[in-house]
Amino acid sequence: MGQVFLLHLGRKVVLFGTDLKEVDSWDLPRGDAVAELSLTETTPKSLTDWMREVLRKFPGAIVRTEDRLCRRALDDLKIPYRPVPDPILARIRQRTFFALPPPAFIRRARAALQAHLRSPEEQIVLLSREADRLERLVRREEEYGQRLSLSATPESAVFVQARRSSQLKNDISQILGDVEHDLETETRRLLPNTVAALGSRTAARLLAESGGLRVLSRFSASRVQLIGSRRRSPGRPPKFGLLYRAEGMERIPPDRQGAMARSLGALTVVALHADLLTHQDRTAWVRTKKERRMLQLQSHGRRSS
Amino acid sequence: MTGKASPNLLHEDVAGRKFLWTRALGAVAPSSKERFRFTSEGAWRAFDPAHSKLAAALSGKEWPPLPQPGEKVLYLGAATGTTASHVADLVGKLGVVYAVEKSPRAFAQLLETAQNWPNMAPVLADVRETAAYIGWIPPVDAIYMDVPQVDQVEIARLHVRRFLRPGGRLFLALKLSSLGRERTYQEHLDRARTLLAEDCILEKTISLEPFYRRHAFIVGKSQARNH
Repeated sequence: MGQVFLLHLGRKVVLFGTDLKEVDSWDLPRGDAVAELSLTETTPKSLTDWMREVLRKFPGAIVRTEDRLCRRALDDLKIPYRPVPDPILARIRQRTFFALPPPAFIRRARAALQAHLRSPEEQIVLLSREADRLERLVRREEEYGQRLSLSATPESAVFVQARRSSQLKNDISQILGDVEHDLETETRRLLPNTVAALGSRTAARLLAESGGLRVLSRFSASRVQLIGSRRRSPGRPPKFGLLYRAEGMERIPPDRQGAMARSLGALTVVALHADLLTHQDRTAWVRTKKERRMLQLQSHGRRSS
Repeated sequence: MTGKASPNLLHEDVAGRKFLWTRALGAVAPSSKERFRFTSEGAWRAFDPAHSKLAAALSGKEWPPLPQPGEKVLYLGAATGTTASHVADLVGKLGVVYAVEKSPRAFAQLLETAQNWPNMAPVLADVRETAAYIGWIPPVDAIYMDVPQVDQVEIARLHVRRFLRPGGRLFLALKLSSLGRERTYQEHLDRARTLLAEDCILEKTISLEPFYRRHAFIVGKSQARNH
């Protein structure tokens, strides 16, 4: 047997086997289907066990598959696989497919959406948005309280209202503090290196604005700098992205903040790769790099070549 | 007046303006601002060219072919499900619309819509990663694609090769301004047509002006293969 094709065709996983030379004379689906497994009661483990069992009959055969479900099982078994050429894939699919009805898709979709919304990444995005919302409320309440206090005398009803507004502001600030604490814990757990470079709030905002960790990890340093930036006037480049709100940026003179944002962009990309791909703790290295660059820029100096 | 392009599409010309309606198959939420029309043939939902590129393509002088009742349609880039629900109306109870969307926020709304349509099958996935859904979605009679990305033509071709039945149709809402700035819009369109012609026979190319600027609607038919 030259090669085997493991194909997920709706409610079944089917194994076809053939010699490459014979592909044109296939009599599908009956003639060449070697084994099949119904997915109705199957768990990922039982699928892996089934695959181990059927592939044992084809030692040395090239395994070809296209579907994520089969790929995961083959990865578990540490069996290498190759893609299925498009014409062969289309041909098998058109001859035989065990389609599921729409309600089954809705059940699967609901589970997938729930899994996504409950992922640590999405929790960070939600907490970040909540912190931003509370921050806006605190600022609004502060401005409102200041306006009221201008016209308040101790015996007036406006004075009572001003005190209530101040109390409300304090309550919201307290909730904001709790949310920020939770956000910091969650962000440090998922992105320790990026938090060392930017601080937890900015790291979480980057995640929320970019559309996810996988998307963010593919960005270049220059693309990271553009996140959250706005074009102030036509013909001028967009400026003042989220990196301008990173931790420690307030200590840099305004005319050197652009240089700091560029350095942070490069540092963030390295940190993100460490967080997502290599899972190494490089926080000490990131912190040292950042501090060194900050010291250079605080004294209006340029990077030594 | 029904039946020009599909029995599930109603069209009227009132003072030179074309109004389109699809036969309502699903139950729309009471809070929805959708407009309805009731005739002896049943209830019809307004198919607004300002909110759907398919409706914009139907609003011109030329009529593209449409998904027919009973067909299976793969809808790529379904977003919140506005056009997808109209396509589901067009294919009727015996057809199925497999609606693929990547953004979880838009998908949450799509899922809500799909629960009210008996023939909508939502899939949360990125259209660039077909491995996530190729095992679940069968070969289809039509592919409708509205994914305004730089590689939209390549994505369309990949799906034509893997998912479309011989003789099935591709409906591609092409956003020319997403294809890059190194060519003019006409050059982008010509290039897209040349690339698509390698996988299907192009039937119609319709400009979506004035509803959508720098958009084209391309209809192609996959080449029949002998198996």
